[in-house]
Amino acid sequence: MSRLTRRGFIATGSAVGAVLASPTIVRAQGKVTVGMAWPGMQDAVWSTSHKLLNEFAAASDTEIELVFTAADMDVAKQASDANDLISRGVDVLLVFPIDSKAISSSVKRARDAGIPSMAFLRQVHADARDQADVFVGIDAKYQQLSSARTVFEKMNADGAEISEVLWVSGDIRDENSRLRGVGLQEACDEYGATIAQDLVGNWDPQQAAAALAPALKAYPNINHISVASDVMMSGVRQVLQDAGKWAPHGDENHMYLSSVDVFPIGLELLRSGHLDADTIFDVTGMCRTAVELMPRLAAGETFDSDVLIQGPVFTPANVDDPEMQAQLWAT
Amino acid sequence: MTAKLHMQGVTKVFPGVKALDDVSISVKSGEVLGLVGVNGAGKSTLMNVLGGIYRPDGGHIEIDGRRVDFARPIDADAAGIAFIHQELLYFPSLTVAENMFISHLPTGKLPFSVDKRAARARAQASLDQLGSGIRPTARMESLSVGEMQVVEIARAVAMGADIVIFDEPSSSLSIKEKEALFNIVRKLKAEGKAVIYISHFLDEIQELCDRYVVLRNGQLVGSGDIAEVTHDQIVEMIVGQVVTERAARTRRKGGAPMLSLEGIRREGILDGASLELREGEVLGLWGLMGSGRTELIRSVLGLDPMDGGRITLAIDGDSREVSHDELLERTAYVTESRRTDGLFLDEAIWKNISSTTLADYARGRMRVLDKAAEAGTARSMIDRLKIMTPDHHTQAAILSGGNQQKVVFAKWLNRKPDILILDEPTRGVDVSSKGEIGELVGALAEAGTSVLLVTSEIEEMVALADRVLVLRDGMIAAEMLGEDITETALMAAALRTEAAHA
Amino acid sequence: MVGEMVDTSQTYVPRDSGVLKLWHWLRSHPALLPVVLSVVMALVFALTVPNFADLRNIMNIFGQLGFLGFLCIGMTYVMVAGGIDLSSYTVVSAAAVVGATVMVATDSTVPGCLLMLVIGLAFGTINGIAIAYLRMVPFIVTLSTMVLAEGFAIWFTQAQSVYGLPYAFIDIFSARILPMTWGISARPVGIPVAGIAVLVAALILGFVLSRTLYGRRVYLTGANEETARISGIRVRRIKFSTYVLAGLMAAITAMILTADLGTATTAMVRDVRLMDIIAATVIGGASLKGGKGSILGSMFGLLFLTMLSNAFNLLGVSPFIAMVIKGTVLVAVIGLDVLRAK
Repeated sequence: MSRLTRRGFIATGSAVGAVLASPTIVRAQGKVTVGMAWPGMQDAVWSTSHKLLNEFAAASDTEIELVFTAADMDVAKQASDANDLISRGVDVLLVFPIDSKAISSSVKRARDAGIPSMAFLRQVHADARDQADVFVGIDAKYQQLSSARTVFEKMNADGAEISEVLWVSGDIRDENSRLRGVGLQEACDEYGATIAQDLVGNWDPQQAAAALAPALKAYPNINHISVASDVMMSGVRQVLQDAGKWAPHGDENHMYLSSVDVFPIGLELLRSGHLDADTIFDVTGMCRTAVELMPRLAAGETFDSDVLIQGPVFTPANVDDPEMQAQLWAT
Repeated sequence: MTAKLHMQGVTKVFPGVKALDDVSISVKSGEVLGLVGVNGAGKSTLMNVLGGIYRPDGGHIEIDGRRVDFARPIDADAAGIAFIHQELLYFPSLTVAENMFISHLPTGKLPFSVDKRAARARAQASLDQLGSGIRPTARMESLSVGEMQVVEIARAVAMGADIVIFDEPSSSLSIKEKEALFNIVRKLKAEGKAVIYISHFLDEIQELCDRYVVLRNGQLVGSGDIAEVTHDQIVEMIVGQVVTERAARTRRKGGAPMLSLEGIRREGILDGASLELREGEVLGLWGLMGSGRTELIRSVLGLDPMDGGRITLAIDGDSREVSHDELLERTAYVTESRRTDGLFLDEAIWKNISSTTLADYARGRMRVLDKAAEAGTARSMIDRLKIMTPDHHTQAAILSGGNQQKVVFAKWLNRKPDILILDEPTRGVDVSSKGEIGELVGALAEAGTSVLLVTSEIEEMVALADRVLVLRDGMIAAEMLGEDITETALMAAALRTEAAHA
Repeated sequence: MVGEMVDTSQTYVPRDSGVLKLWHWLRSHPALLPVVLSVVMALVFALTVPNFADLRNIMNIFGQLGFLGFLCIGMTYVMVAGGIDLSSYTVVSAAAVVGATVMVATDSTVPGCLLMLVIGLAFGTINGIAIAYLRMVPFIVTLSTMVLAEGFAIWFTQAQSVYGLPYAFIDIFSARILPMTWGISARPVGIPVAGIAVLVAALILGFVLSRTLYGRRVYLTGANEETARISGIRVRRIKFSTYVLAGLMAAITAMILTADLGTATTAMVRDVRLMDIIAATVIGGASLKGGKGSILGSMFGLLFLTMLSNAFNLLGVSPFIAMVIKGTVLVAVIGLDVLRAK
């Protein structure tokens, strides 16, 4: 079983509310300085979360100063950055781990210096020596699970046969990609489907296309492809167009597609009816929650469980609802 | 008849030095003027003034009796002055014709197009005029240095130059190519061009030139008809002091065999060359460029591949077969190009001098170098070889050619070698350093060092060698001893080679 | 064909003025630049950056030198001998993941450390043989081994981090000894073992490079390989040895980093740090043409870069401005090198 269920709990909207409404809240006195050990700025999630954290911090009741560092995806550099932030004497260390195990030593060093730490998006590995004081993340397993589940429900309603699914994963080094695979597996188990083949897309449309094209020939009867992120959808579209299977829902050549993240291309394909389900990567919710927790962590509050954000599933039917549109960040 | 070119009272001052002091020269059409002088005498400065690179601080230039003013090199170009440089500038991957007309390519019918056919035809015409067999379509990189030079001259001819200046044109040519060059110079003369010929090789000057001009310390110290002056008189003007007549000297016999090479072979270059170098002799290795002189040495020392042969070395009286590395460690090797593989140019003199015997300065278990001892050695070598330098910390790169060569000798003498191999030991060295190096080589041989001498300079071979082996086609073809070693005999040996090739 | 064809521009021109003397001296002591640069910057930061001169931060910087210091030492040897090693940072990962896997499997430190050494030395040997004996181009060879080592590490681990290392190993290599309280540090601060290790290595290997027979041979090989060879220096052996040394340094880095991070991963050190290593070495006086550089210079070059990024992190200024400054300094130093060569 994944560490999520062992150690944490699934934070639905109400669960987050419960944590936030906890009676043990102690407001920190004065300004809270938070050191951010970030992987870099080149990725949309890194830069967006940096931007949203600053926005929420500026709007916060407590005065929060964010000190930003970037490690360029270098594990050792992130450790150095964390050391620098500890030396600076920040009140909270906020880490976006490049490596879920290596970050543990930075968490330990912070703890030794009396600084609480918060892991953002990627949890410190469960088997590592020292754990962050709180983890705010996306429920990656839930994303793929909810997206695939929505598609299976739709297939049932359409009377389509549910048998095999092709899985286009992200970077196999990435924990999020692995967890999404677990989510897909769980959805398959629920609906009696099997994963025909794991394809490594590496978050890259070209690589996804290169992996998918031969697999589609090997499994001609496939009617559901689950993609770890819709950033790879242009590659999937290319392959399906070549195979004559690129058609919106309702067309007899329609291929059922479930994906995750709701990047612009995902939105476009939801609207065109090609993509059937897309669970948002809820950076906005995560950043809002992280900022809310900062003063409490600085004040010495402890947390027993992870805070996992579960974003809603976007479908062609709800994509243009105002409340769904309000969730978007990557457009 | 007025002079084609006349330079009147040219003076050029650089900070702290008067490079040219009221120098006047003139050259007529159909005349070859020899310009000689030691390094730093002002030849280059004078030619740079003529070429529009420097503006003179005094004096002026006249062409066909009219005063001209060269502000830029292109002005000299336009006035019909062409320079044939020692180091040639060219585009290796372009053809001969393209190189010749690179700045003046004939344009084709379309805009920006090049009429290659016209370029080829014009190139062919110029090359024919010089009696050269080079094809205009050949790639520049496929030519020998001598052929490239011919292309450079053909280019000057094609551009309509009336005044052609040769700056050390024969430095890197083989004997055969030199002969071809001389013929071209004579052709230019016959066609009425005014030629200035710069060389240190007095024999060339005497053979080619009608008149001579000698510069020393920026001043004109002598000029006149070449027929009215002797070799030694010119040398006297150049050096500024009387040098003794080349004395006929007794040639050393040499003692016990020191180094024996037997049947040295290298694919395509060496074909079973054998020789024996004796104790206390200067053994000359004579032959054309490409006859395998340098290659023989490099192969034996393990610097280039060797496909067969035996190397026997006398070590402490016992002769035994040795490996390349063993030989290299016991040999001093003054290479033909000191800047490439003779010196550590960016390093201080003392580091250069100790480089051959570094282990001797290592102390203790950590093998720490005794820098004071290294510096001591360097200082004593600087004194012994009269190396002109502010101190032993000076970078080798900023020394003059002669002093650089002395540093090369110093680093090898420091090893107290039994065998000294010299490959063009005085190339690019001024006259006085050259004399000192010659004396040093003689003294070393007297003291028992075995010297193997490779030189392209016939005078040097005659002056230094006790015995000469003629190398031809990768084999030893002849041996000359004692009185037989004369310039005539050596030239004859070389010419025979040429005949054999023809 | 003999004669004075010496270029007149090469003749000696006496340099008398004070500025020229200083220039001459600077030129013969290239390590001075990074030393001065570091000292000046340390003073400026100590006065302007809060907590910079705090003991905790000083020890933090000192410990960070242990991350890249060994790689800088290896790079200095290779560059002085006229080569370059692009592979060292991925060799760190390759050695780390294999050694760590063995440590996890055996739950003991020594076999894993030995294996790290073996792998580091093996890659150094491959580089050395290809470059010194097969006469292949250093840039291409080490670029290939860089890719090879990274591919090997990813294949070996399936891109998963190796963790669960013996605490004994972690505690030895990431230890901080002699805890003390000084300045504003509320809690005692120890001296990082990694920093001490790199200091000791720099002193020893710096001495070897600058003072011993072997070191001089490394310099002369880099200054002019052909001349060195003819002068009786076994240049192939020397070049080979520098790559092996670089491999050894990568192995030691693997131990220190693995212990410090508590895990071995394929992304331990990334290409951006390769730039830091080369930059530190070049700021320290090394030239890509060989024959120049020193351990002292490289260490201060590294200290300079480390302090720069530390100060910016303390100030909370964008790390990307630090990158701009690093790049500017590097270009300036290379420009200075070109000027010095004139």
